[in-house]
Amino acid sequence: MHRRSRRQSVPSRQGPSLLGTMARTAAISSTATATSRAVNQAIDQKATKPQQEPAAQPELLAQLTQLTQLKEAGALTEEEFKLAKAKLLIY
Amino acid sequence: MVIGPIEMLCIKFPSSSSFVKDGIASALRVLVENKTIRIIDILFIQKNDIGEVIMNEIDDLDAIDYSIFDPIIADIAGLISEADVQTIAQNLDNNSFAALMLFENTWATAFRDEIVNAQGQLLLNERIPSSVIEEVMAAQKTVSI
Repeated sequence: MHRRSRRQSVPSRQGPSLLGTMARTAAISSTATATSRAVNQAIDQKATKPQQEPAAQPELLAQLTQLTQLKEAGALTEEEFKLAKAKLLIY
Repeated sequence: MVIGPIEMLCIKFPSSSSFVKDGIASALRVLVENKTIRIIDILFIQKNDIGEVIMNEIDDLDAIDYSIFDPIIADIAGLISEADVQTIAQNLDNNSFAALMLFENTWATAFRDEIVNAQGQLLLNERIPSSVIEEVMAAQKTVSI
């Protein structure tokens, strides 16, 4: 037999949103490093609107090139580069 | 009260009855009883055939075995807001059901505290999809041949 134990009161859920508060504090906090921002930008570009002008290179190739440049500039470690590249290739 | 690292998880199911299957309830029960996690908040989101979003509390679902939530249900604080539900529901197709859970990674609390004591700073926290792991492992095998 199931022991049914209801809460005293159901939450109202009218408070501030977790996701919104998270987005706001991430924008002003200093916890994001240059490397993680660079990685996120490389990934975000994939989700943006279609390009206005015809691209010289396919978008994916441009992003992989950018990642390589970041790695060569020392902004990404080998591990971070591999991880970001894998992300680009599966999404 | 010390709160460990909190995580939000949203999983889509074929129907509300898939979620209440014993397998999930038992698996969650084991995690909670072992103090691996604590369920901080849980709710269910439905989108009907015309895209309307319906939010259900655990209290609204008859078939749930409440005993798995008993140790925690008194602590459920309603941290997930209606605004969060609307944002998340944007990614749901019509005629779908999803469970949204906020849980504490209780297992990681002591580890996290030691890192804080050592002035460690979180740089990256990513779940790597298994498909990516498989792809990278396969590529490594190719390289080493």
